[in-house]
Amino acid sequence: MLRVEPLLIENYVAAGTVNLRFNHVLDHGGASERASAATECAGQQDPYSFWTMHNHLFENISSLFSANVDTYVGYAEGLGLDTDAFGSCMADPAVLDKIRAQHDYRTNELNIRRRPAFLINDSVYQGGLPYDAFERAIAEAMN
Amino acid sequence: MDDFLPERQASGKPGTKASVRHAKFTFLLAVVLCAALIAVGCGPGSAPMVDSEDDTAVPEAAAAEPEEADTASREPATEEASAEDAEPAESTEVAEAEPEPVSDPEPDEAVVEDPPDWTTHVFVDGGYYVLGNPEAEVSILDAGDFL
Repeated sequence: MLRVEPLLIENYVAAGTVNLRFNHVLDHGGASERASAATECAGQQDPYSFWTMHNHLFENISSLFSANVDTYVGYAEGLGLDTDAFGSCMADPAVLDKIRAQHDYRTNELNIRRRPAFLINDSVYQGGLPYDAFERAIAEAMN
Repeated sequence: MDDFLPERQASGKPGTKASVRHAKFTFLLAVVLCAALIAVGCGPGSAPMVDSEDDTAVPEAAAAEPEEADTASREPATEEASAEDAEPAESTEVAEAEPEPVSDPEPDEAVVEDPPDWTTHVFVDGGYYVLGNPEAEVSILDAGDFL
């Protein structure tokens, strides 16, 4: 999704025919939880900031294993967010509950065991998909 | 004196015919002269007519000028009046036209209204921050880990 997401946004989201949502998966313990919490805390201040933080984390994916709360506060500051509110949010257990609930939904409700995985309307696609596979899946979903 | 008179009478008698002839000649001459004068245009009626024409022509021209001036001055006045008459019409037209542009953009705005930039539009649904059109035909859920 990392590679094809810009194309999906350009060709489908911009046209208004497709919308995207991100379901947190916590396969790497606390590091995954902090990264997911950072996107949720950005979204609490401004919904679009969820996606700007989401993009920023994927651009800095190599540094996320060692990233701590201060690292994410620094990211938030770089995105123009309120760092005090962001720091408070990162310590809020409700945020952790929310991202854990999404992880459980993916595992228990969608029965997804592989990563990445996609739910396109009602169809589940597990494993990485090239862009043309997304095109076919979207065309099938629209018919 | 008597001599003189008879001479005159004497001369008059034989001269009566001559005097009659002379009178006729004089009358004819006067008639001819008068006719000639009339023909030349010096008659009593013609001279005044020419003068009157000249006099009339000048005043007519003079009168015409003012008339023209009046007309000219009226024309602008008429134009002004027509313009004044037109101004309200124009203002009415403008007043009528003003709503048109106002009313036109409204439908234009309604018709030409730019679609939202869905690439920056995010709404919240079921706890998800969803990027794009809420009415999109297809929804893609990316179940992923940032790491």
